[in-house]
Amino acid sequence: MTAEPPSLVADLSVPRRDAPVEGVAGADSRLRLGRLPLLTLATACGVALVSVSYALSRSGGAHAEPLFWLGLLGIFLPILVRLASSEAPRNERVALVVLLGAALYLVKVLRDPFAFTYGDELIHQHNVLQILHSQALFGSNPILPVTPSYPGLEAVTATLTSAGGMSTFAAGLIVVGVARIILMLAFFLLYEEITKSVRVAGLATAFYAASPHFLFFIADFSYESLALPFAILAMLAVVRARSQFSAVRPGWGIVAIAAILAVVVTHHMTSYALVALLVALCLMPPTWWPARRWPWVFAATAVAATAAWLFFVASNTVGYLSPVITHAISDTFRTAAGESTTRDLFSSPTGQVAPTWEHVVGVGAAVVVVAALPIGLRALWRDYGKQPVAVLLGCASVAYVGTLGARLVPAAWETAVRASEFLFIGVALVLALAVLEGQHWKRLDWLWVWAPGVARIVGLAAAAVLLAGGIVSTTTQAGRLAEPYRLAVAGVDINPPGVAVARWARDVLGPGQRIAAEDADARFLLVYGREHVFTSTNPPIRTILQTPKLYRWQLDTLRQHRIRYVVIDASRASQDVSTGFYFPRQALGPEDRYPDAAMTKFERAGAQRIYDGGNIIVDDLQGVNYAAAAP
Amino acid sequence: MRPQPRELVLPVLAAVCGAGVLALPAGSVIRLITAVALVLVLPGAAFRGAVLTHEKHGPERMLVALAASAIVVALAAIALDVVGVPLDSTVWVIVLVTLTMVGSAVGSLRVPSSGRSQPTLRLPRSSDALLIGASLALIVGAIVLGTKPLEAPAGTPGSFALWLEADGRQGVTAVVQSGKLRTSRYRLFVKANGREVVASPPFKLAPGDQHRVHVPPPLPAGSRVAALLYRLDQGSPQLSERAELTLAGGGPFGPVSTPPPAP
Repeated sequence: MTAEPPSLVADLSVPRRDAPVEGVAGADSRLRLGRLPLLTLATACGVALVSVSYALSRSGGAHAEPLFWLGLLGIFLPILVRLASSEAPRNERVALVVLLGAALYLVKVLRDPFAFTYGDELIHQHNVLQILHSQALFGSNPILPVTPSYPGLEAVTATLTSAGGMSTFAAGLIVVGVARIILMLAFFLLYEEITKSVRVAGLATAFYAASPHFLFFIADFSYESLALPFAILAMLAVVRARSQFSAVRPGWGIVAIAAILAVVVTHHMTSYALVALLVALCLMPPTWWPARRWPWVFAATAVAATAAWLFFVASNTVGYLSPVITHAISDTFRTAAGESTTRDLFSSPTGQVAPTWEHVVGVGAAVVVVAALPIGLRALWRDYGKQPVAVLLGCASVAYVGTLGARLVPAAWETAVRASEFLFIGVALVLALAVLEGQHWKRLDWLWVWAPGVARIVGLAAAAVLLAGGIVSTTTQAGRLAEPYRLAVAGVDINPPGVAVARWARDVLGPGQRIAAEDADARFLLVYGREHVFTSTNPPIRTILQTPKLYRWQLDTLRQHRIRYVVIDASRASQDVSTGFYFPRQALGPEDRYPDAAMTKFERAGAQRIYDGGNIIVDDLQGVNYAAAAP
Repeated sequence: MRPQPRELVLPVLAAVCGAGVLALPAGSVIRLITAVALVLVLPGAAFRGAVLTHEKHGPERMLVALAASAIVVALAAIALDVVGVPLDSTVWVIVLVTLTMVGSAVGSLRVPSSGRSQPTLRLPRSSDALLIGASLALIVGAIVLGTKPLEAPAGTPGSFALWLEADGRQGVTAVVQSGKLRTSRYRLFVKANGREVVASPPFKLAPGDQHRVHVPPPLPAGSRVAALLYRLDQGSPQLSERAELTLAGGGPFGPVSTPPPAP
């Protein structure tokens, strides 16, 4: 029996800044890569399995889902095991976390390799196209007006598009791919800086990769995908600029200021989270900082830049975010008081309920986090109790548990899920500490001695549940497997009906027409048609398009917004931006489509059907008779 | 003080990439590579050399080089926009090459190349190289498979479209575009103000094909033209799609008709 070490730090390698780079120089002058090549092969096998699973899913083959999970776990678990070991040198760990991030990014890219298909992606792609067209920033976006006010991602993508002479899609994939590498490097170095342990750093970074939104949401072409890496870099630079190594401090200070400014111009919520973190750091006891070097300069910069951007450039952010947040808070209180019902977990917006195994795995992931928190927090408090950033991240991990409850509140679940992207930074650190603490827990020595295999299997199972649970709790099956988008038919590639109608609108009606459409169609019309679209609930386009009867208030709304055309899609999926972009897998049944009366109501009032695509039609409202509408 | 050869690497690379961006044709792989280097690597590498002169570790250098490039581009775009400079590729080449040169010069002044650590290039062992080569082959295979359009699932209905285009001389063209997954037979009828003006013979449309039927001018101004498409391969002819168009004379594009005054 081994004695319990006094602290994890004693067992962990503490890298010195002036130490030679590990894992590079070998006695035989050859580059020694440790297990990296083997793990790269395992990761490549995982990616290949996922690609096969997507091909099966797109073409209607069987067994796509088991292959997807097998591939995903094949990417994640071998790297996690290596990162948990004490043998891997620093550079190998760095390479492994970058490999993990890049492989999981490929999983997202291979799901939609032909075009952007996440709701926010097309919105940002429109902004890029607008920059390229006008050669200026701060254009307009009819679907999400706040996005042009944060042009960081779009500016970089537009620059790469014009310099490389490539499509906005290709440039967007490259920019987000680079952002992913920045994110993994920044996370590793930040965790390493906080804990002085490459082992904790590697594990914590890998656990962040298992967070619910890492696989798809943080990898999509959206402003947060670039802002989050900038924010983590800013935190790293702040910590390094306050360190005791005077030779590197000034440079990291400049990096910190630049990264803070970049976050401010790239994404609103990330800049607010960064401000909150930096202000909170300034509230920590001064004795906790080396030589009492508070990061107040950085906090002040972040506060001033964020406030200035909000008031002088992006004032519409207040109107965009405040209803979401106030509604979430008020609904939380109402639900807690029993005045409103809780939200059904594991069901899609269109009412599809997930299979039982997804319920079990999703809840299991929450149980893993909740069970590991006390162990990890104990280690954190013992070893890093006077490390300001570590303490804050510990608090974030506790707050994450609070957001799990908020997911039951209908108006708060999205806010809670979005907050988890930031709070999971703390959870990942605490999970990493819990793993290493568990390995040294005296009460578990019998397990490691008598059944080391069982202990490892339990650990791997918990890690697998953590990864899978996060994914199933944020995606439906259709949302994580590939859907039919571009089809090969008799040697010809055919795009979905929504793309066809958008291209028709651009060619026949011309760009800039004012068109109302369901969410998915509107995004296609925005990007491929270059049209001025109206969609969703403000104005209430969804209701206007879906009611079987035409009312005068609906015509009033359309007239008020000078809407000339309506695109009416029979498919109910068209209002869902996770499933509405693809070919339907079968002819629409009665439960999948809106009533025929909704499709023809404008024509009954005198509108002309100027495009008939079967399930998707375009009506010209010019001849609509106001008197034909119901009062 | 004469610059050392190593101090010229970044400026020369930036200049070469800038020339490549301006001279190479759009869509070429070499231009793509030069653009990625110019936009996402070189400015940050120069920035890193200027501000983190004492940073020796590879991961830190790589992180700052990549991140600072994106940061420089994002912040420079805003600065250029504020002063009213158009954000086109020529401007970007000038700005990014200049920033890279300035960053490199600052770095050289702060720490001459003689004071810097020399990176060493080592080859991996042959077994490691073999494994990495196999991994790359697998990844390339996965990407090729992933980006290949495949046949549709069995029940996918495909799509179809019918519309009318005015030709500006009081004539119209009815256009049929097939996105169906198999070849089908159709007939198309065009009516003007309720009177049949064209009845096309039966025709076949393969997936991806387009069929156009022209109605010669002149049709009366303000005519309401309708196109009716019938499918012929499902027993009796079935009306499949229909589209309408009112020819010029019906008024310019405008909003929904004005409501009657309130009673």
